[in-house]
Amino acid sequence: MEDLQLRIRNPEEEYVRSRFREYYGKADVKAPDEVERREFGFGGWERKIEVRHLHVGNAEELKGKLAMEAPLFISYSVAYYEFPDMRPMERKNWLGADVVFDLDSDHLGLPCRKRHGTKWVCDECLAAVKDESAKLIEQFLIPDFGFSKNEIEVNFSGNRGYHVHIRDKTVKKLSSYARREVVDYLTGTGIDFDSMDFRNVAVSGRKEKKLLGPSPSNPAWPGRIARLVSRLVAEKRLAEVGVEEKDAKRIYKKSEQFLKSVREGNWDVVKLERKEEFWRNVVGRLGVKLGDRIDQNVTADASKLIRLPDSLHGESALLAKRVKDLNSFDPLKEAVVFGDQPVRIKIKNAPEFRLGELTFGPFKSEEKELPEYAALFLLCKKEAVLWKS
Amino acid sequence: MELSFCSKYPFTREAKELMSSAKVDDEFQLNELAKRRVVAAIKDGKIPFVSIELDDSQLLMQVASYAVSRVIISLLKSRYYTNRYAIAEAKRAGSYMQSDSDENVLHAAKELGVECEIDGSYGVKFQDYLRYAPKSVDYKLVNKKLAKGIVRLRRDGFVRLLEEAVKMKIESELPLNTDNATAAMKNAADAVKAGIPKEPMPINVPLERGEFPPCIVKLLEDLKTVENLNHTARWALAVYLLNAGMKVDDVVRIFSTSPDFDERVTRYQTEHAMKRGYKVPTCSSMDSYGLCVADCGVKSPLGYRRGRVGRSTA
Repeated sequence: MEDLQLRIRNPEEEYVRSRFREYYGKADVKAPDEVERREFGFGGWERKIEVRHLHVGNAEELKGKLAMEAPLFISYSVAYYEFPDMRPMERKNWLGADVVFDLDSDHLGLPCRKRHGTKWVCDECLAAVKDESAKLIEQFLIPDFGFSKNEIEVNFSGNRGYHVHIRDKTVKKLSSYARREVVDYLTGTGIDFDSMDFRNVAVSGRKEKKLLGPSPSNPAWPGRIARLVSRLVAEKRLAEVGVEEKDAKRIYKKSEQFLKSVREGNWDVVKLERKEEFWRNVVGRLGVKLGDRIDQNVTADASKLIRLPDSLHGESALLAKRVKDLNSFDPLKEAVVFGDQPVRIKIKNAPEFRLGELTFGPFKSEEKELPEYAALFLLCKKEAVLWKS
Repeated sequence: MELSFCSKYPFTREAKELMSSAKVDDEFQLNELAKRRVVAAIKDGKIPFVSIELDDSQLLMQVASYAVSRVIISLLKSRYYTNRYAIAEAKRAGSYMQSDSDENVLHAAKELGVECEIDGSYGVKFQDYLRYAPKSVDYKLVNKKLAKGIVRLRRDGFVRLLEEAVKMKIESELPLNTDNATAAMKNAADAVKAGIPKEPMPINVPLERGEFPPCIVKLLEDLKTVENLNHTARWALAVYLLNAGMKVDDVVRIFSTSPDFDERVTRYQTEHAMKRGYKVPTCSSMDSYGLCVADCGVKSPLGYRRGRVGRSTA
């Protein structure tokens, strides 16, 4: 740890750390289960993980370390190891790992990203990633995988998304292959259209075959296809799954008839060109969005490090807060932990953003006095420096 | 029923208990039977299936021959032979399970740590499913009926799972401590060694290794470290090697290091792939087969070989 302390810091890092230190001095940060079997990683101003392979003996030690070091990022391994501080990885001796899904608004390909880039978030993308998390839990983890609500823990990542933890002992031993298969299930990767209860049947007196498919009451993926498509049709949201406007309009026009016939497993009410290919494409986009292949591999990775719940995020000064009720959770309000005494900063560049009840900005090269939580937010985004007059 | 159950599934606790109290008189016949069991397993990849009704003493002999086989296998001191033996034992148990009563199959499953509920189909926990299902496209979880954590299977799918569980159980229990092996058993082990093909040596691939894309390197390594590759993986590897210009004989030779190698089948399939002129699967197909291991920035594994390397698509 010495090298971390000795490095010369800029005044901004110094300030942020001093505020984080004060927070950790008072806060009650819970240690993860079997804390002594986890690998910890601490991050600083430059990198989210500057030191890793750290071993923490117990909850008290963790509290002490946080208050003393005031790391800007704290992550811990989803894995349990016999020797968490050994390296290389093989010598740690992997004993098992939690299953944690990482949902990031950046993975959703939202239009607002064009406006604010990946550095910033807005209510739109936070709402979308919340929806995606709810979809993961309510449409997959509970009905298909059979987890109960109290085995699923959600926490805000502290920045752009949510982490969904499965707290069930039976998943700890899942191999990396098994984890990959779970991810493929959730994202719908490798779905075989023919296994989804779709089939073409000949109709007498008609040259073209009739496309039959799943109905909403079918179990597992087939039923979900029928349910999700029905919902997208009813809410006129087919564009979200890549349906072109002219096709969407054709379906919306007959939407009542379409919904009724899908309930009976008939997918042939609306005339579509190359209908099988059409539905194949739609089906391919119905899964949970867990990012590209690399992000998904990270989700399936049984040795990754993940943000410690209840710790501060060094890119936002927001708390990676445990979420009690996802539906009503407002991250930009509930994850704010710092006070509102005024802090003077010079702001480089920031779009309009909301924290708590207040909206700030946009700012461009200006000197401002902002409540501490907002000043820290901008300092952590590295779009502001302290203003000493 | 109990004796016949034990003879079909000699890896169960019942069978072990039976052996601890039972006494086999004809030790010579027992060793001969065990020898044949091991040789058949290693040489042919399967243990002869006894379809006729056996009397009690013959059934007991079957169970006992399993116990002795395990000692013999342990004396051979080879992971390769052990794996091959375990696969053959698993197939033998599987063929009994295919036509056995639900009661017996469920009982054997429980012994293997696989719980199952029957409700028109065979329901197993997804955790067990992912542990024991073959790693191939046909068994992808996304295409299975999964509800409330239970995967619904037909009898044949369920039995396939149990075969894998048998194989893993047997492998994990071997080698045994052979300090107390009798002279007769040691002789049997020597005789077995003389009667089985030599353990294949790892084969150096006659192509520059650096030219292979990561997915193919991984497949080659998996083959060498004697892990069992599933059909899709073998197929992809064979098709790749053929398309990379390798001869059928060389491809077969590469596959000979796999513990469940069957030269006849491998040769047939490789020649078939050659004749049909299968194209190398694209990277996105490799990905959906679960065989993609890196983001090389090419569209086909063959593209990597041709040197278009290192451009990320992200």
